[in-house]
Parts: sequence; C-alpha cells; structure tokens
Amino acid sequence: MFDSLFTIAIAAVFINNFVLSRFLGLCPFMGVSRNISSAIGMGMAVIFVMTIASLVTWPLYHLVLHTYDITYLRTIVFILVIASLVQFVEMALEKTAPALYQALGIFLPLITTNCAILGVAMLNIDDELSLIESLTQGFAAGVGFTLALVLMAGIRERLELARVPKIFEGVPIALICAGLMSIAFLGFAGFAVE
Amino acid sequence: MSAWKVFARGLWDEVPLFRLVLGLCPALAVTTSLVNGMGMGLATTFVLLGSNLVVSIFRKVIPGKIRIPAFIVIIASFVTVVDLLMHGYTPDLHKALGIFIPLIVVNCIILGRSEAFASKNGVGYSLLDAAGMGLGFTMALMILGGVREILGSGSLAGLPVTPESFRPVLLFILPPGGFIAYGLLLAAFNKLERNRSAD
Amino acid sequence: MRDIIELVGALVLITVIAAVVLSNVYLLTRDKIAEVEHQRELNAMKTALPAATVFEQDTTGDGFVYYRGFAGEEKSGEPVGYVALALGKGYSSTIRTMVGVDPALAITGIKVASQQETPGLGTRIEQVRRGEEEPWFQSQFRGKTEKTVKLLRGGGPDGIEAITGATISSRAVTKSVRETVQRLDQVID
Repeated sequence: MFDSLFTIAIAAVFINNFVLSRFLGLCPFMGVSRNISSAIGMGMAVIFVMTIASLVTWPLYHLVLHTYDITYLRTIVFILVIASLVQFVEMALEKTAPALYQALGIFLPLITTNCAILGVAMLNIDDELSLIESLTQGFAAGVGFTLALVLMAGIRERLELARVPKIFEGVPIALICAGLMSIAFLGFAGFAVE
Repeated sequence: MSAWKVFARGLWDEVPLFRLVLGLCPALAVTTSLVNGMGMGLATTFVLLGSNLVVSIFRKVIPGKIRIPAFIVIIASFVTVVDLLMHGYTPDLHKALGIFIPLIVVNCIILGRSEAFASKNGVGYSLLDAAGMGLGFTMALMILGGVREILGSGSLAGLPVTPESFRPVLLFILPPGGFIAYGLLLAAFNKLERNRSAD
Repeated sequence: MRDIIELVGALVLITVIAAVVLSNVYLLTRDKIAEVEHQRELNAMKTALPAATVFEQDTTGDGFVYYRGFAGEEKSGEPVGYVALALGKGYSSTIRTMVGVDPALAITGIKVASQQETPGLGTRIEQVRRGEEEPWFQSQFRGKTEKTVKLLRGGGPDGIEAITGATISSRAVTKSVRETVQRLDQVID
C-alpha cells in the first residue's frame, strides 16, 4: 500500500514529470516563469488546487457519473467543478487567510485553464487509481509542476542577463532550455520503482 | 474590418503557436507525427467553430457576470461531441490523441476567442474568426508534427521520405524534442518576420 | 440576493441544455463506439489465435476472464485454442496484450491491444520494420512455450530478444505473457 503510493509520487514528480514529459500545464510554465518568487507562488497555488481537485473529482466520478452511467459528461462536470473550486478557494482564502491570499491570489484565476489540473483529475480515473492514490498523484503532480516551474524560473532569471541572438530572445530560448531540462529528466527514465 | 481580414488574421498576423504563444500543451504533446498534428488541429477547429457560433448567437442573452463559466460549459459540450464522434469514427486517431482530446476544453485559444471575439461580434464574423484561427492552429501543428516526424522517425504521414542512410534522431519524437523543435521553429519564424519587415 | 439566484439559475439552465444535447449525441454514437471497441477486441483476438473464427467468453471463480476459440461458425466441439488478456506494468502505462495459445499451450500469437509507453522507445513493441508485415517484437512470441517466454540476448527459438532502449516495456510484455500462459494452464485441463 505504502509502496504503491511512493511509486506514484516518484513517478509523478520525476519519471513522468507533468510538465516536462507529459506536457501538461505548459501555458503557466512559459507564462509565470520569469522570476522565482512568482513561480513559487504559482506552484503552491497549483499544489493546493490539484490536491483538492483530486479529492473532489474522484468520488464524483465513481459515485455519481459511473453509478448513473453518464461518464460521457466527465469533461463538462470536471471542468465546472474545477472552475467553481478555484472560485471557492479564492473566496475562502480571502476571508480566512488574507496573507496567503495576497501571495496566491493573482495566480488563482489562471488555474482554471491550467490543463494540468483537469489532466490530473482525468488521469486519476484513466489509471484506475483508488481515492488515496488519486490524492497522492494530485499532490505529487503539483510538486512536480512546481519543481519544473521553479527550475525554469531560475534559468530564465539568468537568461535575462545573457546575450541571446535576437531571434531567440524570449520564448524560443526558454523553450530550448525547457528541452534541455526535459533531456535531464529523461535520465530518470531508467528507474523503475518496484 | 473586412470579412477577409477577420479570416486571414488567424492564418498569419495572429497565427496561434507562432505569433500568440497559446495552446501549447496539445501542440507539443501530440505532434509526434503529421497526422496526429492534423487530427488535433481539426478537432480544435471544430470546437472553435461550434463555440464561437453558439456564443455569438447567445451573446446578448448570457449575463455578463457568468459569461466565463457559461462559455466553458459551451466549449466543454463541443469537446465532448468531438470526443464521442472521434471514438466512433476515427478510433485510431482517438487512441493516439488520448487524454488531449478532452483537454481541448482548457485550450486557451478557444476560451480566448469566445471572450475576445465571439462575445462582441455577429455570427458570420465569429465563424470566419473561428475558421481562420482553427486553420492557422492546424497549420502550425502540422508544421511542427511534420518536422518532428521527418527528423524523429524519417517518415512523413507514415511514408518513409529519408534515404536509408539517414538515421532518425529519436530525440525529436521524445518530449525534449518537442520543446526544442518548437523553439527552433519559433526562432525561424522570428527571422522570417524580421526579414519581411526589413524590406 | 435576487441577482445571485438569477445568475445561478441561468448557469444551471445552460448546463441542463448542454447535458440534454450531450445525452442525445451519446445515444447516437453509443452503438457505433461499442461496435468499434468490439471489432478492435475481436481483431486482437484473431491476431493472437489466427486458427479461430468465433470466441466464447468464460470467467473462472476468481474473476480471470478468458476465451475459447473455435474454428468454423459454431461455438462447440473441441476448441482450437485459448485467448486471454495479459496486463503488464510497463514504463509509463499498463500494457494490455492479447495472448493466444493452442491446446498444448504453445503461443499462437500475441497482439498489444493498448499501451502508452514512451514514443519512439517503449512504443516499439508495436513497431513494424520496413518491408515487413507484422511487428517484429510481437512475432517472436509465436511458438514459444511457458519455458521459453523469457528475455534472452539474441532471441532465437529459446527466448525473446528485448528492444534496445525499452527494456522495461519488453520485460513487462514478456512477464505478463508468461504469467497469462501459466494462468491458462491452470484453467484448461
């Protein structure tokens, strides 16, 4: 039991990193990786919402959609749940933890269209995970996203100071760096956690 | 703005992927081959056409405060339709694109067009806008998919195109190759643009 | 307050309309999708056990599903072989492989039914070489028995040659196939 959770967590953070090998959550990965502090803020917000989204969508799918044989409504239900969840978290944070809201607030609205959130909710179902496993995967996927985002921000902060050919300035060079990081993460490919 | 301009904008001036860096996830994840890129592009175009159509028809009825969730519901419905149709009629493509079909719903291009264009313009223009953007996106995905397929598997649309002596660079159909190929193409696009504006 | 009720009402209305439309599209496509899935499964079974034309499903007491394959039109007489689905934990997905055996438990063929391994590496379990008809990795399994379904450098009659760069996927398929043959051995007597 513990083993399988560990396997899922390691796989989601390193072996199949959500950003660098599954290509989920790329828009914020490119958009919010200009400096480390906003990368950390975005990362925390994503970990938070991903974990809750996994917790909510799993019972919804297995107890409601599956039971009534309306699984084809999965996409529409999940995206609505995630959108309202984000809204709810935003309101709750504003009331109960203003300091945290200050830090994460501006990132929350961006999260609805972060495909990593919807992606993890769907992968939890497709991989036939249990509720506990889904929670683990949701949390670990968020950690993996944050790791990639913060690493990328660290690189881009230095890139600002580097002399880059004109046509590569901005996004193109960032993409090539992401490619090199992704090669580094391929190094985890040999590991099978057993 | 003329009808032609609305349509052509998506094909060059604001072509998704190369001009607007939007819709990255499907762009990199499924473009391991020309056919996959085209399939994803056409599926996205269908959803764009549908959502722009419905949004522009009902743009005066949908209350402003809930327009974003309303748009999301409309988009998600068309995505589900595409998902079901592809499962029934193009099963192999459906399998190859996998989870990225339902994920069309969070493709920023689609919500962006609903919000920025279809909610403010009439049906005709909205459809033209969707067609232009969708085809521009499809074209971009096909270029990316084609380049990656040639370099990574030595074939195009499944047919071998490189001489036997060419050893495919596997990296290009692996995840890192997606980033690198896209970065290089974007730089090439910038170069083209600079030459054009220098004239 | 009235505002909120109106807004929520509008959103609920939109969602209900969407759900009604979708349920109709679902009903329209349901049969087609079921047919496609059935056809895909049947094709996989026929590749695994080419001698059979019809298949009869059976389930053991502990939930193991397998099929008896018969030649001809009728599901009767002596089966020409058996088919079952092997599940192997690959590198990034569960690889589902249809395995066919003859009554003497020699493998008649295997067919990878679904996998999501790394493109270009693990996916080569389905790779077809230029100028060949079937995937070379899978065709190696034909004629193997429980004893010879194992990875072996060089392959040949006594083993399966692994795919370079995709050891985990090769091992997953080989191991799951071997276990399924063992399982079938217990089931048929």
